Amino acid sequence: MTPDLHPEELLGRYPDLADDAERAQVEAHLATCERCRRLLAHLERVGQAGGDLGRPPLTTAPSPDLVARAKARMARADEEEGQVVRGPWRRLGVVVVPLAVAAAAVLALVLRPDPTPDPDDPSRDPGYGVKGDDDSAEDLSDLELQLVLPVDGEARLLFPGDDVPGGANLLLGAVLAEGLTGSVVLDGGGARRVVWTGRGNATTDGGGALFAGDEPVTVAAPETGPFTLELWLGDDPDAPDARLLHEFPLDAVSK
Amino acid sequence: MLPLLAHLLLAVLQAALADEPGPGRKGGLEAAFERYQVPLLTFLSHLMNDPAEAEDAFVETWARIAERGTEYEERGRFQAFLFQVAKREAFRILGRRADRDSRDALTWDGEVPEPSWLDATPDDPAAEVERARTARRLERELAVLSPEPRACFLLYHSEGLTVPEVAEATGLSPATVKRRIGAARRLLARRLADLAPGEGRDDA
Repeated sequence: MTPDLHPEELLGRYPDLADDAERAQVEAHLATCERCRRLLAHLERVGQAGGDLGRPPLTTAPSPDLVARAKARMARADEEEGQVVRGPWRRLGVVVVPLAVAAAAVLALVLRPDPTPDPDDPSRDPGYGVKGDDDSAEDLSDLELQLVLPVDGEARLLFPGDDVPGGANLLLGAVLAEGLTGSVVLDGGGARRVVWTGRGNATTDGGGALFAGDEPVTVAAPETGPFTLELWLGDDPDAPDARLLHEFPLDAVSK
Repeated sequence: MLPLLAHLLLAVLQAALADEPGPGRKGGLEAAFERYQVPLLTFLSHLMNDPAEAEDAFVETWARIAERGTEYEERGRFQAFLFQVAKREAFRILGRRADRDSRDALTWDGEVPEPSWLDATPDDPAAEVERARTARRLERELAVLSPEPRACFLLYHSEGLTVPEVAEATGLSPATVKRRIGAARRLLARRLADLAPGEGRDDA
């Protein structure tokens, strides 16, 4: 629960995803705000429509050909897996392999090098640019908005859902293909505003800090409450053809 | 170090000595296929917005499930496991698509076929028609979400998974799942603002 957050920000989570304090805050606000009551009804309709996507006639049944293809692939996968380990060896492998992994993990813990980075090492990651998000290296090929939070002269990558100190200065980096125009919107703290518009200079497997002229783009987090940074394709996120590429939710917490 | 080592070895032994899938494995797999084939292909179709790629992910998901066996036979756990594998396969294919032609991926128009049934319901009650219209628009607007929030929204709303199950399927924390779904709802509500009586685009 975040104090001083306009209840409208919480409506997207109300009622099923909100905690008790958030629900109480929203309900107190709804009692006095006709506009938010209408907005909540609309949000409920969106959730209901989401449920309708999983029910006929908007479901997608596999064709007989696809079922046959899937079953043939399953049989082949099962057969290939069975050829690798069979019978008692399989159970032995189930025991031996994890033990070997555990032993390797213990050795790695014992023998690990000093993790303290050398600040003068030129190969040290500067903290911005392209890193995997919270899933896997495969995400490097996705479009990501990456952020850096300067803390005491150091920088660390933030991940979606992280807490940041209220009012913190965030350095923005993104993977946006060269030549494409993009924009970044900050939505939170009771306002929604465009904080950057410009052209990308990276490929989908490389990226870096965003620049406005020669200056790296920074944005101040709200003082408190959840907020979202959105990366849009196009220089006007409100244009009818604007496309949201990536959302980066964060939570500002009081210092 | 020693307590850590003891815990580690105990956990490994417990996992190793757990029952293997029994002789009913094939029957269990077939039953799972029958039960989940439609929800799975529906999820992949909405997530990937490309029928051919959704079918590829569908086939590869079931291949991975066959390789792993029916380790997760309880309904809830199997469902989360299935969608976890499906999401991984879908993202792998989407990643290949982006690698193959990033410009196409960026300008992907998000068009989906118009469901013909919507034009054949003139006698339905007005509320049902309105509801169907909203669902059709939502199906199109899903393309504005990046894949991960889209997966969270679909798993929660369309497939009926709980927040912990969505978290298990997506590898995100429950708190992040809630934020993603909440943000997706608000964004989709903005995109569908013209369907909200008396509301303009900026109001949502």
